[in-house]
Amino acid sequence: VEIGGEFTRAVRAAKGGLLLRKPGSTVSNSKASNCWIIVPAYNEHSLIGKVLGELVELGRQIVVVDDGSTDSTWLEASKHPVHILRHAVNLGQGAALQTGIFFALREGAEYLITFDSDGQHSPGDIAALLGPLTAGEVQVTLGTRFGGQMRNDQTPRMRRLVLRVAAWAARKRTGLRITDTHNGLRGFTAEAARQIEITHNGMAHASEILEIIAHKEFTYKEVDVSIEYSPYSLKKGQKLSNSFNILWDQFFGKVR
Amino acid sequence: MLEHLLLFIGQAQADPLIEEGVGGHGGPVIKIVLIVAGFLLSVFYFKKLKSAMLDRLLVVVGFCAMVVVVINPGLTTEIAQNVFGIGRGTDLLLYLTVVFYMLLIMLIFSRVRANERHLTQLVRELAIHQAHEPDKSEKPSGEPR
Repeated sequence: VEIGGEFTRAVRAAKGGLLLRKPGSTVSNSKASNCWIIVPAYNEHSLIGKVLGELVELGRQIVVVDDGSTDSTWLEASKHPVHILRHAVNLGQGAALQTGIFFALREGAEYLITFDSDGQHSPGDIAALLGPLTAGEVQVTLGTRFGGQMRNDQTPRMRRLVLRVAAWAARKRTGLRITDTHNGLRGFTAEAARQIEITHNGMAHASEILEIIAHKEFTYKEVDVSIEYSPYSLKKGQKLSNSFNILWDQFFGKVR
Repeated sequence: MLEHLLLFIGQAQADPLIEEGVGGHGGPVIKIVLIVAGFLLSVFYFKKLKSAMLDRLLVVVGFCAMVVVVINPGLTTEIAQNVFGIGRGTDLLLYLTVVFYMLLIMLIFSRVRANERHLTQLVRELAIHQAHEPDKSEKPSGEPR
């Protein structure tokens, strides 16, 4: 494939520390509510097909960021009418989100929703995240599984405890009124998204996003969303190191 | 950096000879081995790693210093006692080595972070340039159906 020229440009841009400019004109399909759904994915071949199948039904623009998967994630995603970006190597979820955000903004997105690819989220919740954004009420919406009415009793006890402590630490640290720090369902207006630069490639982006919201003084709102715990997502989420990292990030944030 | 390392290796290995009662006159074999090793490393540094002028100067100075202390290991003890008030040259070397290694680790760490940042930018640019577009026929409009 002819990547020679592009590659050199990329190297130059990387050296200069600046990000990419679109060569031609931007896509001009900016209708009243041009909303993009960003789906970071790493080795999710077993579930991403189902997730995308449901998301496509919403009729929104979808961009999947395949974060250097070593399985057939790309192939599964390509069966659906979605944009797919592929990281040549695995960089981490934070980096994948940033790539998706950058691409969506470049394509003229007005509203951006991030949505995990492991089947935890319900596509039906997206409308609730989008509502306050399109109404001009807030700049950022954050999904929470610990909201008042929809208190989700599916959350395993240990995981709930870890997330509760993490949220408490994040409240103390950033001053934000939040109940769930590690919910992959988030919504941003383009204005807010343009100011977000995730530098932590790994999972620490959760605390980094909160820091940016607090620092830039974005208006924000938590929205009740459901989280579905499948045996698959539980296996992924319940590693001890995962809990440790969640707590560490929320207590110490960017100090690392 | 490398030149300091050479210096320390040279001294650290030459020095224990004093403790063993050789009285600063270690056997000629180890001295030759250390000097040859230092020389080869310096040459390697010159040839393979194209470095700045200051770096080269430091390598030369480091190598010369190494030769001096390898030939005369008692010198480090004199410096330790008279300049720093430390009992043995070996101890002085240990302290300096610890500080040197900590500095080295920090430098390497920051280098790694910078590389990581560059890699991320590179991978991101490539990903966006080679974006896979959805089939035009089925392309969603961005409006809810």
